[in-house]
Amino acid sequence: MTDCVACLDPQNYAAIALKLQETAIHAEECIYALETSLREVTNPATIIATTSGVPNSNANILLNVTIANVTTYANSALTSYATATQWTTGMWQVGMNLTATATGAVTDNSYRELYVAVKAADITLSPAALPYPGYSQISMVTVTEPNTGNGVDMTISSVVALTRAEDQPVFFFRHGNTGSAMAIANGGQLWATRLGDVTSLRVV
Amino acid sequence: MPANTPIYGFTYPCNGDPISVAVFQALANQIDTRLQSVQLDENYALGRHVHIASIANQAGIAPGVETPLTNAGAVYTVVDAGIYVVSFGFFLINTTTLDSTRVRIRRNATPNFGVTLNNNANNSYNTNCVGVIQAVPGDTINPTVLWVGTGVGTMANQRLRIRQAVRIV
Repeated sequence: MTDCVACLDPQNYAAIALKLQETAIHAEECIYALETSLREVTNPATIIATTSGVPNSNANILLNVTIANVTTYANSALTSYATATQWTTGMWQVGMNLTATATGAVTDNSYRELYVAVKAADITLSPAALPYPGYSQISMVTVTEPNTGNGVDMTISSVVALTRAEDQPVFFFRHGNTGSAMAIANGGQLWATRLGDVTSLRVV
Repeated sequence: MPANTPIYGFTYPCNGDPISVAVFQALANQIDTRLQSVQLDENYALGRHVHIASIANQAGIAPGVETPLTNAGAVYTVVDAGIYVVSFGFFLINTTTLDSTRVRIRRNATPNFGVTLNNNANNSYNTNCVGVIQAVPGDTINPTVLWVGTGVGTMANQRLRIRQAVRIV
């Protein structure tokens, strides 16, 4: 507090009231700045959404699974996972989990892929495949269908850097189940939590 | 009339107000109380809950039965409400034959997320799943396994990692 509040001189005691006002205001400024920083650390911007109404996925077609979801937790201005304008720049840990089940015949040992990528603003949300212009920081997991009657559970997580306004993380699903389309069950989770600022190192 | 600061309402005298030691004491106490609140925030920031467990092998796991993993470290009991990032790695071994393995992470009795492996030709291998769980005090976070094949399996190389990402106060 000694950095924020100056002591009175003996010849200035007539200004006690004014000095108390200054003390109160300076104390508030110092505490507010500290409290705000600590609250950002304790309660980083976080969102959790569950899939709801993702359309069925045809074989060998990259399907955006981010667009049909319902937010179940949000503690910041980011209240919708699919709205690019709500994402802030920074380092984010993002992830998704889902269960995919064949709607009809199961193609044994066929692939299931779950992707995460960062999409730049003004880029189409329907790439034919990944990599694709405008999509960066791509990660992918693959499982193959065991055909044991339980569908396929998948999870993916990555740390991504959102460096420009309207950068946003997106998730895609693709499969090789030529026997039938695949359904993404409601209740899959999309989530993201902000880890901090994107800091550029200064080269001296 | 005394006035108050706009955010925390610290009280200070205005022109014409009497000034006594009580005025100093009241302001000091108000600031002290607010600093105690900041101290709590600091404790929350530094005291994030973390659970890191390498779990002993669990044998005797029958096929076709969703089996909770129960050795020490496999069950985490939530202390503070929050959002938790959970990661679990594992390796199913010792089966006679093995077609598939599925691990799910539960909050209490409800599965939240999981991963399925195709162990075609009886190949067993390490893998990992990761997701988030929103939990309240007393909730348990615990993996379960369901596998298809024959014989009796052992869950090995179990690594449960839990980090509190957000504290919900």
